[in-house]
Amino acid sequence: MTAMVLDGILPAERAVRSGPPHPLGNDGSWRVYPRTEQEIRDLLTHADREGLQVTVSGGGTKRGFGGQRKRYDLEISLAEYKGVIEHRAGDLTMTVHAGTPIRELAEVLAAHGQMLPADPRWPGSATIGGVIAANDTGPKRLAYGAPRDFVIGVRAATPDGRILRTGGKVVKNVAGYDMNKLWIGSMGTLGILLEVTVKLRPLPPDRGLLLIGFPAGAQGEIQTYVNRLQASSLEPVALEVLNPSLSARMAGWERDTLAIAFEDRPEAVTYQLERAEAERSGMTESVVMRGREAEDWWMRFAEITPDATASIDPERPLISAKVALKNTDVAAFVGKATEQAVQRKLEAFVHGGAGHGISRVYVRGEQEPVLHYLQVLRTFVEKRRGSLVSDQMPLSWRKHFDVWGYQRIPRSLMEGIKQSFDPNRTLNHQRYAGGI
Amino acid sequence: MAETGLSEKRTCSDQGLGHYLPGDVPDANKWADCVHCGLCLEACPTYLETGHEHQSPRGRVHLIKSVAEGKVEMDEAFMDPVFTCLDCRACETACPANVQVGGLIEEARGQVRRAVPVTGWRKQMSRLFLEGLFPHPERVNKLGQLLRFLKSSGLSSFARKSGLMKLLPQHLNLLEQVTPEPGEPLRKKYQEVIPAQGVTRARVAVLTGCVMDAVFGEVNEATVRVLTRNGYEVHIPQGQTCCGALHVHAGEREAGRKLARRNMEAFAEADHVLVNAAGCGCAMQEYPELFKEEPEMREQAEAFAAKVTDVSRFLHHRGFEKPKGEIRARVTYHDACHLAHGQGVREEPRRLLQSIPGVEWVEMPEADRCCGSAGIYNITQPKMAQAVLESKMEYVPEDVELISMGNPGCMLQMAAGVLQHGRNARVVHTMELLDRSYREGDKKEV
Amino acid sequence: MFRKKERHSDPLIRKLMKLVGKEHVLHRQADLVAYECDGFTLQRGKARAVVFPGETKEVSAVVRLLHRERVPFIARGAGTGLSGGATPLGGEVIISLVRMKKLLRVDLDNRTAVVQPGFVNLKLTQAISKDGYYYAPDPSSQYACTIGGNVAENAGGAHCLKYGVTTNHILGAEVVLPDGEVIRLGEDGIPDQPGYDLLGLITGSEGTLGVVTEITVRILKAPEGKQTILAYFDDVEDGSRAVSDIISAGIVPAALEMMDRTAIEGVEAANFPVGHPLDIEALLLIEVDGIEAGFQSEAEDIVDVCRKWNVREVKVAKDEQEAAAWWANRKTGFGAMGAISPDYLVQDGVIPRSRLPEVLNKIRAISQETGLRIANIFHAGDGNLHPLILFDAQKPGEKEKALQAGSRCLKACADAGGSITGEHGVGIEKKEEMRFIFTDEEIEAQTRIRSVFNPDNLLNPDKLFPQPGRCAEVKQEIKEQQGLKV
Ligand SMILES: Cc1cc2nc3c(=O)[nH]c(=O)nc-3n(C[C@H](O)[C@H](O)[C@H](O)COP(=O)(O)OP(=O)(O)OC[C@H]3O[C@@H](n4cnc5c(N)ncnc54)[C@H](O)[C@@H]3O)c2cc1C
Ligand code: SF4
Ligand code: SF4
Repeated sequence: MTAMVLDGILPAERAVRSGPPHPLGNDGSWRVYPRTEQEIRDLLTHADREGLQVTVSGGGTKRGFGGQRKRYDLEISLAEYKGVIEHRAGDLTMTVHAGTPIRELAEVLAAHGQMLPADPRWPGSATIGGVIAANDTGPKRLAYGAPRDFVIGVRAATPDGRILRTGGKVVKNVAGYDMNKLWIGSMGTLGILLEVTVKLRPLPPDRGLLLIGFPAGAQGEIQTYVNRLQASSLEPVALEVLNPSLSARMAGWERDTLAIAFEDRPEAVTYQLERAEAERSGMTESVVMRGREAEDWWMRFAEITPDATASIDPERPLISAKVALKNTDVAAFVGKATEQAVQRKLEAFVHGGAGHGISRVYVRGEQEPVLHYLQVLRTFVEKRRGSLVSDQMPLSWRKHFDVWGYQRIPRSLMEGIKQSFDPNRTLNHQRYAGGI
Repeated sequence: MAETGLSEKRTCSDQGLGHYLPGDVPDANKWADCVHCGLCLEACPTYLETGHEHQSPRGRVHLIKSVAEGKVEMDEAFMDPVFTCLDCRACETACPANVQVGGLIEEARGQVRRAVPVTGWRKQMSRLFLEGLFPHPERVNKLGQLLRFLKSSGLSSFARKSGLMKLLPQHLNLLEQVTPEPGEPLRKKYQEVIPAQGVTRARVAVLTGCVMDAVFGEVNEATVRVLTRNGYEVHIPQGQTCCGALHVHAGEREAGRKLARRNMEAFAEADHVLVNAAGCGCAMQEYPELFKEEPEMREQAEAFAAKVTDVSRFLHHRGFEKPKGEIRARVTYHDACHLAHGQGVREEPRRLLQSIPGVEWVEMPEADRCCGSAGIYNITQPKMAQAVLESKMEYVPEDVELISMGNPGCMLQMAAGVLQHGRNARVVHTMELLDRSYREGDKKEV
Repeated sequence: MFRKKERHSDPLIRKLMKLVGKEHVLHRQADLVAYECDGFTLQRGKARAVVFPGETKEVSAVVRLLHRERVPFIARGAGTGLSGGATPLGGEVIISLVRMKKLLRVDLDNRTAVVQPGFVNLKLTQAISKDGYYYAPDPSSQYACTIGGNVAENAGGAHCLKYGVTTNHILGAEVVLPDGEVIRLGEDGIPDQPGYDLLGLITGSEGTLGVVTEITVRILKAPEGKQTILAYFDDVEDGSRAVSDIISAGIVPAALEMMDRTAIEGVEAANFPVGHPLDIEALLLIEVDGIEAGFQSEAEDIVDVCRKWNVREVKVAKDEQEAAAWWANRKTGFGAMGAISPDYLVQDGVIPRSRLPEVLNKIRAISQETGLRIANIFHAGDGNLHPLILFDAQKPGEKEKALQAGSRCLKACADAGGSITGEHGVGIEKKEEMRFIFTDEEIEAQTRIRSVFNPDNLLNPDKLFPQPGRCAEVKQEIKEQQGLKV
């Protein structure tokens, strides 16, 4: 790989020779910034033909997510492949380049009173393509769903030079296999997402947020409250449990906190906030936020920790993990993760969706105690048939910790799918579950 | 069926069609309405029991059509699904396209009967019932006797040979146990005209029915009392005979036609022919179907059919005296197929019953699910009948005291179910309860 | 019922009988005729046998046997599919899942339910409604269709505008792969299992990737309340504009359905009439639900939008019974066509909602050109059209004309940037039309995926994808000839 070769594909100023390998891994000797589909396609086929190993990045917020290789030959960054291609406001759909950051998208939509039904982390830098490939979701997944629910079409390039469209531009479509699903969470192992068509929603007319602080360690009470709320006809869009250290930052108190969001017409938000308030017990305290204030709170929530582009403390790097469990195990997990962290004198932010089953752990510390901590949590989670995946960890640590955990899906199927898209293992080799 | 002008509806043919024999061929228009959507599947008791498509309304219609297309022979494999049909008409309620599955089945049975004469125990059985019994009121005067006779007669050895013995006696035993003490047949007890109490509002004729009169004479008496009390002069034409439903269900269409003619004659004078047995009412409303190929008779049959009404509907529509006597009981109601699906009578009996003081109403889930009685089905297809009954009993509320309904066959079958399951409920006819309330009310006033 | 003991001459049938019991195998000609098609009747074929396994183990054993003997096979639910997915093309063994019809578990706190594949869609809501829950995907066939069939077709329904289609409600599944291996996806309904989203891939794969033997679904809490609105328009375009404006007003109705004049004629002539005027051009049936305080004002806004677009009459259902009657009338709409036409072909195109008036005009033109009446019943909210092409198969040439008209309607949808099917699937019916929206390369990408699961193409062969490398026109001709043979 030389500058000359790349120069033939895209202008030299958009091919950058990288410095020393990134501690999180998943970079390339060269980083290129294509701006057209043709450039991406040429880069990919060139690499495939020449046997070069390629990785793909968007905003770089998931650089520490998976992967065993010290370095790839080429990093294709989609940071400059961005922008809205078509916004069909009347149809509530939009087609965008995969490298568009979430916030840019949200701003365009807000002007039309619409929104992307998603609240992933680090919206300022995370791109739509990256969010889909990493299947990143936030607390409002409870009501708005995950990428698998809002992606209705994809245009992608495969290493052998094919441009494949999956899905379409309409919200309902069952023609052929639902190939869209293959892109979601597949960590760029099958192709490079070029364009994405998503389903939109109208912006809610009003928002409300109720934070309830429970006495520390009162997981059982949180669960009881959640069950009661869920059995009522209220329609929360988020039911997120925060551990005390995270609460200290987000709510100003060191208690277990339940963050309950409602988004609807103002009269419906008021009514629901009142009913949710009325249900809480005397041992708790609460705060209510409305409108802009509530929205800002969630914005801060999306950036609890700096993303992977921030500088890394090599001794005590920030590690994060995504945990999937049954809804009713979430509060207990948050408690367990907190208690285990305290025992190990680790600082951990933990939160989990009591209505959608996804929890997240952010922990800082030295390698041994942190990996051990994660192992203990994983045991807890796998016993309950869930999964723990570490989505940020330095490359050197990943050698000692299988970030993906126990694989339930037969390997032959995983391999077969990879094979049918990328037979030469050109893209993001070994970055995915099961070493794919 | 709306006329669209889009397509000419095919007319009945005198010729055989596909593998059908000439004459009385299943009506092509009826199966043409079926769009094969399957919305009837879950309504069909035999499909629910077997899961077999050919034991479903859609499958049966498809088979009947396939014989016409010459793809399937009229052999045993065709007979099976055609004869396991309960003729409950639940599919007709469910069907968005108004397909008359029941009518098609009856026509197909007629064909089968002509093509494949009955042999063996089935023949004995059907002979006994259809020729020996039902057209002769005097012979049907006690089903209990009949059942006892059946058991002791040579018939059971037929049954034993065919492996039927294991099931049949048990079921018959049950039926026998639940058969009430014989009342006096109405036709013997009353004269032909029974005057109204008070001012005469109208004159009505009543069909006494064979099973009803023989086994549930009480119900007929109750019906007469309720009617006369509501100001109707009741006529009981002596010339009347069995309605023929069982014959038509069994594919004996010629016999059915004979009986139909006699009844049309017997009731010629009547303006209203009231029926308290769902199956009979339904069959009489469908007399025109029997005369598809005789235009003149068909017209007469249509005029006759228009006069036939279920007694509960008649009372409800014309207004009835509110009963005053208290009946303190938890009451539920079972929709006889031939009332609910066959005649669309659902609300009327419920309103009558709910008007009785003291009644605590308990709605039965899936109330219009067949109980498996279906004429003599519980005798000819005991295994399926039992399975259907079992499913039905799951829906009968545990703690009711009275289960009301409007069909004698159902009354026997449900009573068998109640007995089998050791329930405490009593099975009654809607008219009985209404009558009881009237009489209780009178006592009080006196 | 009382058959002579028979020892079947086909050894395969004997083996099947051994695996599932004699009474659970059908093989006589007359018994098989009933299985020659599903809800799509224009093409039919004969199965070799029908087996009724009672549990996953039996499914797996049957599949293993068929795989070993290289006999093609098809899974079948209620057979209400509208694209021929469960129709044999000749010689397949049908694995009917209707005996596996149990509701296995309900977990209200986690809002999940586990069902066997033969469990009927509507039964789920019936079973949990006493606790105030329901299962959202509600195809109009929900009285009869199975959840296994729903998964295979990724069925939609009137209420998927707000709540999503089947795939959005499937959390886990047990699947028997075409070689008999049993796999579980989405353990306990826990989301985001690491690895490719096979659950999402299998949902909507029309029974070509595996036989689904157990399903974990999401159940929802019934909304606090709902309001149903019925609006009559003298002009289809006014109706379409009202649809767009409702959505633009930031309202996401639970359902937003439309019927045109011919469709109204059909439903009013059929078994569930509600007295719609017969001289209107379009009706909208709209449902809003949620928190009382919110949807009441939404309903008012909807009424205002309808007025703005010259509605002749708009009314809010006065009670649940009235709303239920309106819905029964709508949901039995397809079957109702039987009341005004001997045969119908239902199509299932999708378009961007904003192109509604334009595509409806095209469909009208197709109707005029072919001389066949076309009724439209559709999910207007998400642009899912159901042109119902009315014809009489007994009239020479009409069936072919109907097939052509259907195909042209789909072309119109594809040209408007839409899709050839929104919920009924491709099956055998729309194989060729796949080319309207996918390139050969894109189709091949999909058949490669099929090969990963189903390398020998024994499971539901020759469905879903056009034969590679053959010109579409030629195929269309072949299809018509096949149509003729029926
Ligand atoms: C009147 C009517 C209205 C309809 N309305 C709608 C509607 O509103 N929305 C909608 O989406 N559809 C609708 N349909 C289509 C149809 O009901 C759906 O496609 C339904 O999901 C089919 O379910 P089924 O059980 O009948 O499946 P079948 O027809 O038996 O099978 C359909 C397909 O699924 C496969 N299959 C079935 N079970 C399994 C299994 N367990 N594992 C793997 N594969 C399996 C079969 O091989 C076949 O390919 C309607 C149909 C009719 C007749
Ligand atoms: S009449 Fe009853 S048993 Fe016969 S097909 Fe219809 S529903 Fe089934
Ligand atoms: S519901 Fe009616 S139209 Fe549909 S399959 Fe059954 S009989 Fe035929």
